[in-house]
Amino acid sequence: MTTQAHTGVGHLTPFEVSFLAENETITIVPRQRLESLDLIQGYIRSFRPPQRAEIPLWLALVLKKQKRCNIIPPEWLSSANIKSILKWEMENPQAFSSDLPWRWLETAEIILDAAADDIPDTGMGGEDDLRVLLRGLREVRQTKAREGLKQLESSYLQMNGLGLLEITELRGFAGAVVDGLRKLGATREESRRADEEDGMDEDEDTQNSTVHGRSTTAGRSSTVGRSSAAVRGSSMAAGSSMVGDFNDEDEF
Amino acid sequence: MSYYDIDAILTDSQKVPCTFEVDVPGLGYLESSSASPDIKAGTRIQLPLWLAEMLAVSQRLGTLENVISLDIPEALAPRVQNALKADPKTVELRSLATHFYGLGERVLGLFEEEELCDVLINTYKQRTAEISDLAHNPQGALGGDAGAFLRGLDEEERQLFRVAHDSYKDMKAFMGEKTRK
Repeated sequence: MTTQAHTGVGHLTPFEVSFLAENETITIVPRQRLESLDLIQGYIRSFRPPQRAEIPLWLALVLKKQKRCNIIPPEWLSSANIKSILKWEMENPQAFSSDLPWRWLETAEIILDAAADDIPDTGMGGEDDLRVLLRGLREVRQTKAREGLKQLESSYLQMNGLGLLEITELRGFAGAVVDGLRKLGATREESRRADEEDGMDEDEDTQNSTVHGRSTTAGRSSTVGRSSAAVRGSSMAAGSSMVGDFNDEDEF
Repeated sequence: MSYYDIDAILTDSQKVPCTFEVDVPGLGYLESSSASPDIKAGTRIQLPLWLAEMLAVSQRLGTLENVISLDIPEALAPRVQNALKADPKTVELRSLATHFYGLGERVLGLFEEEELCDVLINTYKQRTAEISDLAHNPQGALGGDAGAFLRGLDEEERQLFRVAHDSYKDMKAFMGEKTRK
């Protein structure tokens, strides 16, 4: 198995995202008594079976592996719920369901992987199987996300309701495309902004020019003034394009 | 984009057609065919973007004359623009210019070309959508039309393809490892 080595720059990989998801809390039914644990992250109360306990997912995974507990799947992770969400997603091709938690995909993967025997509705195959439903849900949402990417603009992209892992999957590409569009539209944006500023300065300009017109009597001096202004204007334009390049570089 | 960004350097070294507006002594060697040591006004020559840009915005001391005048490069000529308007996906950008969008971006900074801007943005949007689809479907990307399309990608698009394909691969590795056990 090869994963991209993480160099400390750039985006999170799916493995890192799922690692982060292990810090969510989950309900378990312990099978054994266990003394309380005083961890840096928090205090974990002692287990007294069959009382349920809320612990971080990573600890639940460790205990599950040692057969010291059973994991109670979160409420949303049931085939009835996933089925209704899937139905909703099919009926609304323009939107993502907001009933799924932020880390739904990675959490579901982890729990199904480690504690499939604790979850009803898995392993029997058929279309009500939780795994099948989840895969269907993921595919429907993936298709929508890809449709959404086709409407990318240089300024923003709105897709509400996507989970963290789904965003991770899109982030690299979407970011690069938006950046490319921004670069192509940069000159237009710049001139639009300049126009806006001109609009604001217009009042002052007209005032200045009337004052100027009154004070200059000799035609010759006024032409000299104008030509020097033109030179300054064009050299400033060159200067501003250089500044623009600089800004671009800064952003990378 | 860093100072040593190879793509920025290569973008800078792409040639654009220029016409000299003034005689320049001692620059005859720029034009390989001429024997004279000087460059005459009216000579047409292909100059790299970085040089052409500097000469085009600079003026001779004390006058308003430009040293050179720039033309739109071949890769962005009206003929190419029409082809891009007709179908962005069939044009081989790579054979026009290896850093096509980089060149376009710089030309847009030098010329007021509203239409070119629209054409480029539209081209970019349509082609990136296709790239994203192909990056998620490596089998389909190998043969036929898709293969020809991928060979015609410019450098920026290649990088996009790589990014999209890497994230697809990472995701597949993650999901695959979880389900195979």
